[in-house]
Amino acid sequence: MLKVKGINVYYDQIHALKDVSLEVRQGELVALLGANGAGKTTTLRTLSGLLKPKSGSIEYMGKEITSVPAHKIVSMGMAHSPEGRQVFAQLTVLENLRMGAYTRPKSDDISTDIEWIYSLFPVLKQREKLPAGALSGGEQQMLAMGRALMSKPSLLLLDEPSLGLAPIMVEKIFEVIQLMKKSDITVLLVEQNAYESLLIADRAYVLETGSIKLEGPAEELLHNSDIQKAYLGG
Amino acid sequence: MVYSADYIIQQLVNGLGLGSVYALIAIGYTLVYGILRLINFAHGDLLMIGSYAAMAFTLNLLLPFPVAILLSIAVTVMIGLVVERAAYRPLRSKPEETTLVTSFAVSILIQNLATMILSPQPRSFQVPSYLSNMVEVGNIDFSVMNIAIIGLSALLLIALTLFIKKTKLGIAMRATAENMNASVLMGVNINSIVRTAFIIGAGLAAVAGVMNAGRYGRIEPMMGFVPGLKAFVAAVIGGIGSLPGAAIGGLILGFGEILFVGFLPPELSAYKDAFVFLALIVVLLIKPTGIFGKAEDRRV
Repeated sequence: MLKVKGINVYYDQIHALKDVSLEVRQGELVALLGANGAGKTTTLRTLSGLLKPKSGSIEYMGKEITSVPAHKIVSMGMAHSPEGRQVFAQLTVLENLRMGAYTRPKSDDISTDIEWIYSLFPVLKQREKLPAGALSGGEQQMLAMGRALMSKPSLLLLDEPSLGLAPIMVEKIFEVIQLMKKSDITVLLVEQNAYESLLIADRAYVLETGSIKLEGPAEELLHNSDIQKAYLGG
Repeated sequence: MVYSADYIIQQLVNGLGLGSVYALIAIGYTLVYGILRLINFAHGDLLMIGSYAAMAFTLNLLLPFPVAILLSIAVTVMIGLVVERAAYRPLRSKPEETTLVTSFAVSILIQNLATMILSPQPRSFQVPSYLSNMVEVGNIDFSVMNIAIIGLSALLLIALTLFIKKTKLGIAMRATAENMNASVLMGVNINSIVRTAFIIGAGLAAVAGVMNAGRYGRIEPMMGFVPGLKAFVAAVIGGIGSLPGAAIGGLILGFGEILFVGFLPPELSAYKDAFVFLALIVVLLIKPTGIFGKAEDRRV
């Protein structure tokens, strides 16, 4: 579904991604792990077109998308729930969800999908008319995921959905991520919470200072002694 | 000195009229700033383009006044879009100072081109007699022009508010003003949002230009500069980036200016423009973000 071949991304002089290659297959849940500054967010931003690689290629659903402008990528079926949630604080919860469906034609049944999001995250329905800035961190994360899902994506890119959330919220968010399989949504999950991610993922990649250091089935990585030392606390 | 109630009412209506014109211009500044963080100092010159176009359509082509206004809006919008495409879009990712200086350059270019092509001589600007008449209500004379300005401005402000609040494009404009990257991830084409802001701003500027020309009865190539600058002050006083702020800021300036001229000793009325900038300094000292402005929390 998604094939990334040897991409190199720079921020001015800084070489942020070095020959990164990865693959996500239809129906998978793939985790992208690594420490702060390893290049996880940069990878997602490059996939959704916000950053352009200097070399290498990104292929999505058999199409080369390396030079497609960012705003055209979401209608190709790839949605990105960005780092730090980035909900529109001054827009209401409902307006945020409608923004998620921005590229979909008027004829689509958008209200049914809003109900679907409300069934995944009932608290959002109660907050429907509130500005998103008035929501708690966990609720904003739910909204950010809901907003991304409103585009009806085939591939969902999730950037640190558990960051800064209370444990009970983390659990809820991970529950919903697992539900994506049932809705035929492929997920590429970027996380610092390596243990939880490996428990629900099919496969995982580990980024270190801009390069892929390890890859394999999640089960295997969970028992890998290097991973245990570096990311799982022993 | 004692003022009659009639005089006070008349002055208040004058203030409302002038304030409406400032409000229409201020909206152009605030919309574009909200999305691009660009202070477009060439915005005032669109007033001049709008009023010259209206004059050409009425005087040379003998079109009816309302039709001339619509066509002058179209001309001004076209020029606004050309300026955006040619001068500002290539600088989209450059720092704010670069685009600010560019907007000064565009302003000077437009003013000098107009002086060369149209001649620096002021020309008289005629409005149809149904607008230049006075109506008498009780003992008070109101100019129809002023009433029309107030009515049309109110209508345009309501329409714009509905557009921004309710339509898909309006919501996308608010989203983009708040977070451009996240809007791109939603599939929003930033260029079309920027174009929309310039279309609305230029259209309102054309209307304001015709209103201004109608109030004073004359037009000249530099006519946009001072009202443009004052409307910018209005937008800053209201809180730049905020639509209600631009409207309120415009009204405050309009009322303030008329009260200054109408109620203070005549020796002081020459200083009315100084009042505008004094008001700006006072507001910025008390509330640096303006009346409706919010402190910026921008991510990189």
